[in-house]
Amino acid sequence: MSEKLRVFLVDDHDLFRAGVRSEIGEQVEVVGEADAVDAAIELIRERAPDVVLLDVHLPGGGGRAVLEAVKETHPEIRFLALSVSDAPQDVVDVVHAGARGYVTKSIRSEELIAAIGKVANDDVVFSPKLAGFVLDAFTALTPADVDDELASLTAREREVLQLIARGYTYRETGEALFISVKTVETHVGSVLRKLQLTNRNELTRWAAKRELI
Amino acid sequence: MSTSPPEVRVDATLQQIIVGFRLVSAIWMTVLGIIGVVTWQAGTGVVIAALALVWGWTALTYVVMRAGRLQWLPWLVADLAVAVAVVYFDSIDGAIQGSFVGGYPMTSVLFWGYAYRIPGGLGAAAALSAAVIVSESDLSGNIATSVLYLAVGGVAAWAFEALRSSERRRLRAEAELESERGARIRSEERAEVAAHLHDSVLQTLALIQKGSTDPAQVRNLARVQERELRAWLLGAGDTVDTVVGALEAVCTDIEKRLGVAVELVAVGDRRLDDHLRALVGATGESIMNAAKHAGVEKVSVYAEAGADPVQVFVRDRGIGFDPTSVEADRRGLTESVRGRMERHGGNVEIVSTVGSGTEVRLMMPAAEDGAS
Repeated sequence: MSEKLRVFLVDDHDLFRAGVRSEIGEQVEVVGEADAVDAAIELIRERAPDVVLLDVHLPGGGGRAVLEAVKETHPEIRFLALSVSDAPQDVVDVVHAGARGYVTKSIRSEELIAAIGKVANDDVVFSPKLAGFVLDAFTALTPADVDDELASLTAREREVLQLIARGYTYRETGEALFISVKTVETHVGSVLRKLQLTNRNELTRWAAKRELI
Repeated sequence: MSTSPPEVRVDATLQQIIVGFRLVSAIWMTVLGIIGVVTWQAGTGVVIAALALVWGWTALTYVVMRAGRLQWLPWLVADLAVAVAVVYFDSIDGAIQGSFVGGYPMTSVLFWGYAYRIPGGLGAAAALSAAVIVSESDLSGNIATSVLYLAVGGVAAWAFEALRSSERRRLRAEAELESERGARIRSEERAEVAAHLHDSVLQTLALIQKGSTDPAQVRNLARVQERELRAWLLGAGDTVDTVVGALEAVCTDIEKRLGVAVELVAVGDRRLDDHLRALVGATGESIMNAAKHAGVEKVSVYAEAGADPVQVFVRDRGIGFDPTSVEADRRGLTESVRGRMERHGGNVEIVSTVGSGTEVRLMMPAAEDGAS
């Protein structure tokens, strides 16, 4: 029997944590919980989970603060961002800081468990929302904002993201584009890397622009 | 905080009842007067004088009530004097039996009880009793009349007061409930404001503190926050003048009405024009169609609003159907979606497989400007 994945929950809503724990508690091992930034950083370092489910909004600095602090000392811990429906800039910000994906809280428990598994396996979890946010961010970055080719998507990557945004699974996306699931995952991974390498100021500019429509 | 009792609505009703009673008494007195003249040999002149006085005074009572002066002491004194005069007229009418005043003097007792509570009611009753005893010789009749006046004066005044205080209690309870509800609403609003400020302004301030070395970024953040805060303060939460704003409204509406989750993902945005309004309308119909017929809990909507053409994809993972052989009701919907789009120069593609769901692809050419 394979070892259960060790998962840590960070969310400032007790009820939500309790709900997630009861939903996923059988398939994974919940090794700890925290409801604020400082406590989360300390406990995650101590328990070294495989995956941290991280709320985007947290009192005391937001999910990004937890991510940055933990990544400094424990770069191997994976983060999956989880929240209700946030401003695109906050979500992209957390992914930019190193989260391996973003799912909304309305996700079904089997999907959440699958997403945790993917993140633990170093894959990337792009929900339709995140795909839309990322497409939006890269579309809005004008050539003047872009330092190098890292900050622009290839035509293929764009196609993959568009299908995911339309609600296609990785498998369906592969079928529609006549490529393998593995190739879809590679494209999504490279999009994530590009996002993380993009200068943060550019993202802020994108966010500002988006809000100013 | 004022402690004066709230205005008592029952007062107006009581005044109307007593004045109504006076009117009925005047009519009854007229009838009795005619009977008195015809059968008891009552003096015609006395009866006519008494009736003229009573009718004139009743009309004046109505005017005084409209003026809101029924509780004015000089008026009440005059009113009682008229009642005493009526009793006096009754005693000098020369009738061999009977009395024609009926209930008219009682109405003055009621007014006094109304204005000066139990002492007022009893006082007026005593004054009228005295007038009766002085002017009439029938001892047992006088005593009966006096007892009746005193009893009615006391009981009526007590009843008026009971009605008033119950009304006052009710008003006070209502006012308390109202202020309690107001306090609750205020505290809820406060919590909502706090939550909103936490999510928006405080987050932005934190970002500004962190990025305070980059003036451009700080300016940007401040501008975004200002715009957002203004929109929120003005209550203009929805921007339905853009494609994405309109789609959000449509999705939320369908979610609320049909209880099906509609997940909207949008890239870019542009101002609405008539063609794009048709696109939004057709999107709404497609979502409705999926929500009603596909048998799913969730419908995905993806919009590329910044691109030309503007594209919207409505996808469900429901039962699907064979597009070449659709039932009449389903065809009706696809036709209305298609017709709407084509009239505005757009087009629709429907991809559906039995068992694995449906995707409606809507495309509408964009006007030259307006993208962002």
